[in-house]
Amino acid sequence: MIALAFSKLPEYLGQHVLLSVSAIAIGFVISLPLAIALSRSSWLRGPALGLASIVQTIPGLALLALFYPLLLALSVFTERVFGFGFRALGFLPALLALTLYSMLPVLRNTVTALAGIDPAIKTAARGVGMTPWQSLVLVELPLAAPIVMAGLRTAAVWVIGTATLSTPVGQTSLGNYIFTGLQTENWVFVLFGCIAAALLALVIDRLLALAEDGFALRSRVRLIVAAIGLLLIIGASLSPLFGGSVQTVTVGTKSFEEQYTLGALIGGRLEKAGFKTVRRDGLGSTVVFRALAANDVDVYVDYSGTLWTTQMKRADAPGREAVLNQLSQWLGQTYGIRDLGPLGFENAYAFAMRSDRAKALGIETLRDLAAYAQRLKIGGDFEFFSRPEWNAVVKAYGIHFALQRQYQANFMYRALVDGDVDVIAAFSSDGRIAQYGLKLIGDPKQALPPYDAVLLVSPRHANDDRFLAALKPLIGSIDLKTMQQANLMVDRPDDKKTPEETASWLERRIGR
Amino acid sequence: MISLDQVSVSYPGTPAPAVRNVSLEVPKGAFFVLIGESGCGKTTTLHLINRLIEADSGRIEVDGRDIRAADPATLRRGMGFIFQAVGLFPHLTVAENVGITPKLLNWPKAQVDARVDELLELVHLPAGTYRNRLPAALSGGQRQRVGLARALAARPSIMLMDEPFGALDPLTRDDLSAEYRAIHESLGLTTVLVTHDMTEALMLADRIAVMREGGIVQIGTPSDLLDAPTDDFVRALIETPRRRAQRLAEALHVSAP
Repeated sequence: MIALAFSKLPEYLGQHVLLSVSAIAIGFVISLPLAIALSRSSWLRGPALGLASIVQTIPGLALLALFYPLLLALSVFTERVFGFGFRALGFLPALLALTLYSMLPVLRNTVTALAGIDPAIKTAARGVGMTPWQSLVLVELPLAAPIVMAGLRTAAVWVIGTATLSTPVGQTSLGNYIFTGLQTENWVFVLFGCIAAALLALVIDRLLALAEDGFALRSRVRLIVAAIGLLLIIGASLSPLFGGSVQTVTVGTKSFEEQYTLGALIGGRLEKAGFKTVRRDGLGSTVVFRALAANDVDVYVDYSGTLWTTQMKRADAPGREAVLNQLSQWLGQTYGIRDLGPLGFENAYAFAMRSDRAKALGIETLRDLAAYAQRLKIGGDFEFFSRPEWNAVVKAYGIHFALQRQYQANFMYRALVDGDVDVIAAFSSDGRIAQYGLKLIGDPKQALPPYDAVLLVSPRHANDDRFLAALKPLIGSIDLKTMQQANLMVDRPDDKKTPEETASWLERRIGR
Repeated sequence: MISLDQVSVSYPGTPAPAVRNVSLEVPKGAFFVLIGESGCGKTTTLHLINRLIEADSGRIEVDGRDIRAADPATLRRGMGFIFQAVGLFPHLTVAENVGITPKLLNWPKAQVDARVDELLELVHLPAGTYRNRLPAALSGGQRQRVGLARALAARPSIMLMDEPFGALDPLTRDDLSAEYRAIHESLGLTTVLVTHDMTEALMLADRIAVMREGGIVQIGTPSDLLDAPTDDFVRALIETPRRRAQRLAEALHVSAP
């Protein structure tokens, strides 16, 4: 497991350093002149520092998430008006959010440092015949430098830490260890990611501290050592990123283990067909769909019912085949997305209870459950209770629970088994349903739509025969039992497999 | 020669002008002292001469040229400026502080170095010992000597001094003011010095201007002021040193065995 973690380090660390260093550098280049301007205009200072402080109070993940739709809208606009778009997913939103995040410490420290310079020294600077610019460059900035550097250090540590949160907007970073590890309960990965990010922050912090001392003590040696150290670390981290420049295709995944396994499976097949692939793992459900439509992601697996309700905004349930057909047509007409077809299994939302509990209460269907619901607690993943499916269930059965709790998907099962909640909105392809012997609750009114896993291809590759040929054998090749077994291999605490190992196992099973 | 003609200036937010209709002339080579109580406008008047403060009205000329015609930074490089807080640049060495104005004037480095050594000798700080020290490693008196050397560095003909010896201990203060008076003579400088200490004024000045509430009360030589003070305020001020000497003598007499 550690060897696998190390094998991913060059890419993750390189991307992390590229992102953080760019954000810190751009943030610094903007903040320093801004701070100088603010230190000369007292009426702008309050509002500007206030604004920067407000940005700082926005949670890092939220700030990153906000930039994706913003850039997407902007990209659509430039595409229409100027005829070019840009990738709204990945590096750009992460860079902009982190740049904003990095600005406050430098801004605040520089303003404070410039304001704190002894007025006598500024009078002396004018008295000896310095112009305002000379006074700034020869006297004020050198005197402020140690405090400015302290601000830069704070910014660097913040940004390197927060950059781990850029994984869900599609930017590879050391956060990939943490997010993947959290989803697959691979604590070695989580720990590895934390330690790598912390070590990086620590080393950069020490080098900047050395530079700070260099300014404070007028020590050229310290400054030179710090500069060489920083350049070495940045250079070494970035070097793996500049390999060949073969055209790459992007495989997207949502944030749960089944998706990682399928992502690895798809990636493996494309690599074998001669494509260079990159993965964008752990994307939000709507984020990945929009990214596909915008060609930021080239292929991923979604579920028919999800798109039916959240994208097509349909509330009716015309049956499994009809949903698949209408969806396929709609995707092609609306976005130019190619629906290659169902993989062969469903990963439906399905309500589950502990068998003993269901038996004791005599619950077989949602209709039975509705009678007891007011005394029961329900758990769901982060999106379930805000999805149209939940509204449909509530409407169809008039069901109201005493309490709703949200969980990271894999903690949800444990909460059910431990009795923290009585019912969960589980996933039908999850291996843990069989493992824990959970009782699935029937849905006689068909309030929940079908959720066939379907393979979607971006408009860019919709007619790329070589691309499609590599993936077509996957259609209809994975039945529910196989997927449940594969998911269990990743989830189970003993003899745990990585998504990559599981993907090879699936590939052998499929044998096409 | 420096001349001020009907110069006034007000600070924003204060009703009374800081300097009101001040006219004076400082002949070339004169040691001119501005004296008065705190807030009388003497420092403002000094700052007007090198445009650290801009006049609201009136005309100021240096060597016959209106100072508003000059670039302020260029104007200041041609005048030495010393004040009580000294304002040495803490991140620069003694040599770098002293050489700053020549450097701004783009003197060649060798010439700046030679000038720095020459000035450190002049103010009695051996260059070998003090050249590379930072201001933090100097005593108060040494700092003011460096400040004096810095003001003299670019060979100005005019020196503007704002209570330059005010913060020094009495012995250093007497030494330094006597040394400066000698430097003033030997270099043929024109000096305008601000103080509130009449003893210092009488010992140094060729001409004294007494200021009060932003205006000039009387201008004259020390003996003019002693012989014919224009009003009670000037009389009281000019008699302070004599009164103090008397009280000192009485105190010594009483306490003698």
